[in-house]
Amino acid sequence: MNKVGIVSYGAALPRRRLNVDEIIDLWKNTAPDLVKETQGVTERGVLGFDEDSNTFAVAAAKQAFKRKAVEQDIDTFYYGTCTNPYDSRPSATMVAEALDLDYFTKVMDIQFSTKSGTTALIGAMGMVASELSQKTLVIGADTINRHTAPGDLLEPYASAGAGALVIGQSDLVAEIDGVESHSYDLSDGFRVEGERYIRSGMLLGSAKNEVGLYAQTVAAATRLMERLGTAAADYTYGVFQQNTPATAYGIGKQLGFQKSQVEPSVYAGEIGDIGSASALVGLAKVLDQAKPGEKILMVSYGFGSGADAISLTVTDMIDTLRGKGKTVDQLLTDKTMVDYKAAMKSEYKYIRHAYPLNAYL
Amino acid sequence: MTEKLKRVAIVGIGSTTKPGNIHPFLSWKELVADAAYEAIQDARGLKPRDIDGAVIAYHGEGVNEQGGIGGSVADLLGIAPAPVFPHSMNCSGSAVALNTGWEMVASGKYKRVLVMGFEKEGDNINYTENINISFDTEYDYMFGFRHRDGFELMSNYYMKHYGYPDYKSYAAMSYAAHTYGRMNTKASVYGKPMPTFESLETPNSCFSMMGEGAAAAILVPEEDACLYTDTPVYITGISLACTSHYIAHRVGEEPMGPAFPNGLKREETYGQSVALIEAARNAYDMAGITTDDIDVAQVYDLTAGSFWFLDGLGITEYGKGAQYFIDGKAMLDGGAIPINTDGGNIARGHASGADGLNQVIENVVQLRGAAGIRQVKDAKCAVAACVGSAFAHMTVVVMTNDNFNR
Amino acid sequence: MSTEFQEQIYRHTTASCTRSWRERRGRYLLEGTRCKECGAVHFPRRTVCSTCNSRNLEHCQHPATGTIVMVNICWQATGVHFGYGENIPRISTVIRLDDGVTVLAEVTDTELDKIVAGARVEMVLKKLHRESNSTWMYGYKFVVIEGGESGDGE
Repeated sequence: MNKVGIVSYGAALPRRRLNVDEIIDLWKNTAPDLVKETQGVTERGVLGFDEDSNTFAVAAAKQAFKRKAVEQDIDTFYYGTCTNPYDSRPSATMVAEALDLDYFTKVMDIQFSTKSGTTALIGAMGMVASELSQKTLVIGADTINRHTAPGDLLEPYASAGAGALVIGQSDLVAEIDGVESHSYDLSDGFRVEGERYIRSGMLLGSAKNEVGLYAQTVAAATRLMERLGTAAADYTYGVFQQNTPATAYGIGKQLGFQKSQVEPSVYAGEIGDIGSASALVGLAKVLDQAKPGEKILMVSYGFGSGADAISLTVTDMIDTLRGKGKTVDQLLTDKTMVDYKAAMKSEYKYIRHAYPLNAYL
Repeated sequence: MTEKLKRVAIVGIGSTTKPGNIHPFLSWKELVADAAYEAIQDARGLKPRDIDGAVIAYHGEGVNEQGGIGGSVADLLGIAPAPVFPHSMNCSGSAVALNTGWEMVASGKYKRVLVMGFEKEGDNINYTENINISFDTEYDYMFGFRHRDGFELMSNYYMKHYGYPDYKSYAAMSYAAHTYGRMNTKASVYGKPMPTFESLETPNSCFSMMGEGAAAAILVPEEDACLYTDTPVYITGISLACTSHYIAHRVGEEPMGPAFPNGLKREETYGQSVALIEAARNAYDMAGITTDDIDVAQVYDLTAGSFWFLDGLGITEYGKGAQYFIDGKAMLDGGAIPINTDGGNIARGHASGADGLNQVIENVVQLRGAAGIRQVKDAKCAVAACVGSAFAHMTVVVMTNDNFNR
Repeated sequence: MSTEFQEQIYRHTTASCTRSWRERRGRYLLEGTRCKECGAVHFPRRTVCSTCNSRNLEHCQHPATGTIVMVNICWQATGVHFGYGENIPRISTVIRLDDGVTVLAEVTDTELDKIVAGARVEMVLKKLHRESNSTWMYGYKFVVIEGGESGDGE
């Protein structure tokens, strides 16, 4: 297979943040220690009135183009999201227009739960390796917060964001060494046709991870490392799906990674579960600081969809992208706090009239 | 040009009371009929079927789901088959209608023209969403902006740029309006307690009182005026200037291209309405007057708009409009040109489609010497200036009575 | 959007997608026009040049950065149509883009005290209101990227 890798990257996160204490104080259905200590999340990202998966996607891609001005070369665009504002109409076309991509770009929406972003990446690899594409734009974006019900046990973690990658064959800042995927039919999370809120399909707890998150990430990652002949110690960084920091560290532990290898990619403690953007933003955080020659193991997970494992090696071109876009740390610190009632309002969770006359009555 | 055109006189006026209130018992047809028939009766001896042409303004079809209004109006007034020309030009509509009525009489084709304007907003809960359609809708409207945003943006700029650090000017303007309104039996504030000056020192004191009403005027050629009245009032200057609705275009007014008025610098005009300056020049030229001739003026009042109306009309230098009110010059005893002597939109009330005519009607009352306790002494020449949208249409009307030396 | 009762609610306008489709590049990319005869640039797009009256116009993507000229911050929700009154305060500004054209837009994702005349801004894409046919509309808003001196922004 031809060498394929990352040409540029970008991320976007919501500015509004909600302290998890407010959620727990209201619903009283979980323990503060469980959320803040065990899972490790203190704030979650709140959606603004004018934000959705697409607005984050556009912002993340623009960051990638700021780092490297390759927008003219994009001939394929794969957009991964499981929280598309449309059910039966694409969003990739709208995002493509907003990025001024050529109308002959091969554009695709990909829905594969919260690993839509890495699944889009795997598809992009094929397009580039086969030379059907010179440069493919990949975005993983989600607004899990919009689709999580008030009072759901996962509400303290529900967030939003986007990660973007440009995949190509030349001028690579990181080469992809190999990929593996694992899927089986399991409804550990789901949202059926016509429903607004994503639900867990199992009791929350270790059994759920045993059969879902850990089972499949370990399967995919182990097979990848066996095939590549690598071990945990060969990787400087482990970028693992961060529904919460605990899931990232948990996957790391299962794979034999030290906490210190996982920690550099962890951001979810300050912002929560960003779905399809999760692994890509963890990767961005690592790329913000990685040095040439360092290896990265990225493993994503989607409820119901399984896991992708991707091994990368950073090249000496990584420094050419420094200082041009917003780092994940900058995105995390650019924030404004909101309270619970404001969060419910801007995430449109109050039941309203179907007919909007309330401004006048 | 003017030799062939007839001089036009207003010989009858009518308007419904309390245009700042909603009138749930009255349909738009009753409001229009009330105003029109009051005007017809005011024109001594005129019979409804003497009307040979009419013009009517309102916000438009989007507002109260009433379009194709020409036929409806001819019918409701009992003047069918007379032609009725509708106008939809935002708040300047009835002033534009007056312009058309003037042309109809000045051309000699029509002899007794009824000009009307009305607004019926209470039948539509989301009325403001519909008046916002009277905008250039592809951009600003689609982004949820409305005319009022334009007024407030320009007001904030004006106050900052010309150095007014507080809201004393707003209080002065609002206080003047409230004072006059309580001298006007038709005003919505008539008979109500007077607010204190201090309570008006806020940007919220200069919002118009939105309501419903209608206004009407009868226009005839000068030679027929004596048939209907002993106190004719002549329209000697009238103009309409139109430019882009887009609020951003007020900065630099690019759409005027090479027609940007001479002697103005683009940077000077951000807190001004260039179209108003143009309309004023045209109306004054036509009337052969300067600002020195003006005895009383009615200007559209909303936020700081009145300030740059005074600037644009040449009553004050650019930026001094706010100071004019602070100095008390808008009042009857202000030693200058009294402004908005019927209370304006703030106190008389704002029935959008009738605003322009309400201003003109107040000037007619003043020029007839019939304004009672709010009479401007020896008023001979009056000006009315109105705005449509966020300064997209600007009208200026100059009127004189028989005492004015030509 | 389904309703619980059989009888549907009628409004007198339900937009076809074509109308907002025609203007999408204006909303997403600040695309306007440039006159090929005299070089004047315009936003929103025009069909006739206002400087020389030529019909010979081409698309022109205006720069995504500019400077604030006028500011209004509105704390009243009433009368703000299409649901924009949900997000109070409503911030409107007139911005002069770096090529000279002016645009009326909301400033977002910015602390209020930074929204002043003279501040430098950059365009971001945000979700606008939901159209009368229930589809989503997107368009330009701006964020402040550098401070202004509270001057006149000229």
